[in-house]
Amino acid sequence: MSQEAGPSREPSGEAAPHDGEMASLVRRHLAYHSAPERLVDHFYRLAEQERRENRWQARRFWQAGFAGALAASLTLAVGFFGIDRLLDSKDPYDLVAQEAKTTSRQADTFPVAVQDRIEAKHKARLDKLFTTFNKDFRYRQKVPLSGGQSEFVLEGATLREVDGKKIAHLIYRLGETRLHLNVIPAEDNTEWPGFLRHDGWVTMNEDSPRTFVWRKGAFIYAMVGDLPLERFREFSAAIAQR
Amino acid sequence: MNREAFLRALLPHLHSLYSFARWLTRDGDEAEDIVHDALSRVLLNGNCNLAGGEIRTYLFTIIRRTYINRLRRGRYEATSADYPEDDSSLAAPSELGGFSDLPPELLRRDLNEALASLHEDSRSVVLLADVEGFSVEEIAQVMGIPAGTVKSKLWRAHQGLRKKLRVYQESKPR
Repeated sequence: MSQEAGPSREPSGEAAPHDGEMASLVRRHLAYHSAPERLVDHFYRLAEQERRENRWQARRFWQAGFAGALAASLTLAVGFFGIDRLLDSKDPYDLVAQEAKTTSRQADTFPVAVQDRIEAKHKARLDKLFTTFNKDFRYRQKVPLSGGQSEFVLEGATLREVDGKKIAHLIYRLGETRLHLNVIPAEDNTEWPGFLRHDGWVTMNEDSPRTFVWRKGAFIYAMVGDLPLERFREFSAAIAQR
Repeated sequence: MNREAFLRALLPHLHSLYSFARWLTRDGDEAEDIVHDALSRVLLNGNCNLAGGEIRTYLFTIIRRTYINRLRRGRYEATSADYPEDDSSLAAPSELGGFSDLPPELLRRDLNEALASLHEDSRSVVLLADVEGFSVEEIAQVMGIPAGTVKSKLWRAHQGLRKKLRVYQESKPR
């Protein structure tokens, strides 16, 4: 019901028709519902996650600037120390692993968005994405596993840019298990090739979420998901071969 | 305002947004769902470019919009009209007298029942004005209606509450 026209006793003009007593009663006696803890926690976690990601990107920006400004010094220093040792963190693949973990957390936070991405209208975008990378990340990925063939279903994919570099984020599902694959082109990257210039496995984090990072050809791969270690390696190896 | 600033700015309003949604839906799970859904969509769509002062109005706007969208899809049963178009039965505040002589627990119960039975528009206006302290202009923005309409709705909603409280007073054993 809509009451557009005010009643005859309603005050006219600019003064608000304020029933002070009733407003006061409402203010003092109306039940106020506090938000559930999980809802509050959820958004606090998101804020903290965003803060970490921004700090990480700022650090990368600073590192890139630092590397440019001190290029001459680095050239001299390479002979003595090697560029890796100057730019490296404790784990040289930490940045890529962190990127993969961040995107996987975001995808898990917004499952609706993942659902949206698998609608038919998004298929063209996925195809374009795969063409961009000249890589066959199939919609349905059958992988020969030790216990027989299993099928990983591609749930969705997004393409975003960090520091002007495209990063593909693909989400696969095996039964109830979700697996996140980040694919990052290594070439023309001012920072990552220094860290990731050799093919092969580099990081295999056993803690949850398990994170694998490696380089194969022109791409750096990072996988996040809670799978048994053996199955994880089989799937990631199959992906890398394509 | 970037995503991080937006997230930090919305945190202090979470309880108010939930309470507002809960009063609209009258269901805790639905209220949680609405707040989660509305805020997540804003974050996903990147609509975070707001000036600091605008955020509170904006947050209540999207919460109410999400509720209305669900209401239109038939997710909830709309509350019936809270008072007749013909307002001849509504008495002016001074004619009804105060309620301050009622025991607080009874007043609280009756007031909550009365507000829950109001039409969604009236509930929103009362909550936004009396509980959240929004100005008429801000309420107009949240509800997408002219300021003059907000004034009339608020006045009529208060009178509707008065009438319902009077009915409770007369009909319920104390």
